[in-house]
Amino acid sequence: MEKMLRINMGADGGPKASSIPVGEYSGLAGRALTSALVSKEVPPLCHPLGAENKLVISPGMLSGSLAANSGRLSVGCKSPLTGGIKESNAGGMASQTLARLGYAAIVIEGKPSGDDLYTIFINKDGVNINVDNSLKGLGNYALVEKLKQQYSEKACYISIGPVGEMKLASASIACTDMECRPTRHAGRGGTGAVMGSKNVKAIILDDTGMGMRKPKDPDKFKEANKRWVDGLKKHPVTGEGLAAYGTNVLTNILNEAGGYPTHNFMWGRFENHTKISGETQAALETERGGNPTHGCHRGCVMRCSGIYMDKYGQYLTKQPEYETVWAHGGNCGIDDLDTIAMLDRLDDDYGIDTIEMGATIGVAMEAGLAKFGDGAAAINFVNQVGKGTDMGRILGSGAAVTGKVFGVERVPVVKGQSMPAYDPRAVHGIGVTYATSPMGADHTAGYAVGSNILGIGGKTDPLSPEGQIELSRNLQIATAAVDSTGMCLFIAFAVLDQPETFQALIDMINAFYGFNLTADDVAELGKSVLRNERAFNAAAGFTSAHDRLPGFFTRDALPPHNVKFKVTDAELDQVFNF
Amino acid sequence: MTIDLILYASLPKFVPGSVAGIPITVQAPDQTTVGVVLSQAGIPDDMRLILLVNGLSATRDQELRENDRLAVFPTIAGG
Repeated sequence: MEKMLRINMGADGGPKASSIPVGEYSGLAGRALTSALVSKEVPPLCHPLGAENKLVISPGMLSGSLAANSGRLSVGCKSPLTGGIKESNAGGMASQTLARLGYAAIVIEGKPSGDDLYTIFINKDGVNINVDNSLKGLGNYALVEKLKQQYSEKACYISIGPVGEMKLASASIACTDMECRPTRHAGRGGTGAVMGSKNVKAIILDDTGMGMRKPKDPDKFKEANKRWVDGLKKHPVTGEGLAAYGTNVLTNILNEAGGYPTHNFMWGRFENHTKISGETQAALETERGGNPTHGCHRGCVMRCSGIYMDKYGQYLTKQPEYETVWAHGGNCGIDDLDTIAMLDRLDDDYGIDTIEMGATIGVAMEAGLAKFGDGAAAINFVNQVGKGTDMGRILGSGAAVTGKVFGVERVPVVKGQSMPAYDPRAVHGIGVTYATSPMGADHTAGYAVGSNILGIGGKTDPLSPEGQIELSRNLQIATAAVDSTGMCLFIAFAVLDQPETFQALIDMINAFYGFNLTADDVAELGKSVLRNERAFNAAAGFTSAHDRLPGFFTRDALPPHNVKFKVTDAELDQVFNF
Repeated sequence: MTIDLILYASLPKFVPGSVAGIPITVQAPDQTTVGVVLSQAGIPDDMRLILLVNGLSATRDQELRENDRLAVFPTIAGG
């Protein structure tokens, strides 16, 4: 990965690709690379949909190697949703494939002057950029089916649906999975709108003829990878729990803990939680001939993904994730898994972030546009977004815009990005992360739920502000580093509990690159990523006033524990004091 | 006293006929601890668990009260 592919979509005479050495970004990958490049090259005050913004797609340090679970992709840009820097992370096959093609990043720059829609094909022989206006308006599923006929079923596809073409702020970028379905998305922050603004419909990656990336010290790497896999397999979460029930196993525990946001963050428990829980979902998938145990990319040993069949036994969508089931489920008062799975399918097809869409529907229901629990209305809302009606364009612009348009105060966003499936009043640690992450409200940026609720990586009281600043700080630093390795974030459950598994990861990186990194060096990498991101946001106009939760979280008590968010502003301002 | 015991994820396998998320009514003497209820349900003493009593984090040593809701999970995570 010593080269980078720069594609100027606005070049004279049409889009132009140049393969160049990574130069000053050498040694960086994943989020470290996307955030370094965006913070250095994108004017912080530019319009996110303008020619000055850049879309950076980067595999992680270990992607494309034999390292288990190394297939996460980072997508960076200035976000149309938040106005700040964005790194959105996706599974699927793209990261491994792009890394094996030898690219540390694809950087899509500039903007074409016309309306032509482009595809970018990359294989071992180089790059072809083609106009293909026949793809306009296609959903991700139909798009991939069509492109598979033209290219190959073995290729990997990175694409946008119609919502990306419309440049709406909730638009995602889809990556195909092991079955070549467009189910794994860089969902958050509107990266799909930036891809749409560059008139790029799809990137096709074909790594035929390219082997696995080779470590500098193969024997040490192999030995470290064995310890790594053993560590993941022996931990109860990464070895068993995720495979059996998927991420939706969290529904019941967040509900029991009173931190499951229900009816647009009105309550902390949803009475019909067992109807949409991971246990129920896994049993239904098995009964219908689907599969609750499935990896989103080759080389995954945790296999938290799954296959969801409809009531006729036909494929409908991948197993909806916990965040999706919550966003479209309890948050909207919907207790029917088939409705939620249909919403997931539509989100993936139109190319929409499931969290932003679900939170937006919750706000729309609060505004009285539909009743909580009305699944048909929720499906209609998403179809309107996909079709681009006037109402759909409002909803597709996210929860913050929808709240403004319809006069709703209770809008659960930070920096314009909607909160995921944990109420910060009952899970204080995640509230600190929501408030302060440079990404906007993002649970993955510092997953304090582990310590607050699940007893992983220590134990803290979820209802108290005590210890939450330090917890969130350490997790945000660690996460920024993990997001740079290409590793799935869920490895953290094993790494936080098992120091020897963390050491195996460091040993693997060192053996691969010939480095001598220590745990402190890994922490420093995470800090440097956050410094870049914070500097970009500051130059884009963000201040400490943006590192806050909406006022209702500190004013209105959340049942059943009747708690408010109690971390003070002064404490929040200490998160980044490193 | 009466306790509602709710087992989740893989734990119903220890109590034949139980279903994840459906409360099992347990009769127990006053001052019974969480650990005693778990042992009587056949859940191994050395199993790593997440314990919640009325939605609040609990330990095996904690004494239960009339009508408490004891929710029990194996170590799980997601996100």
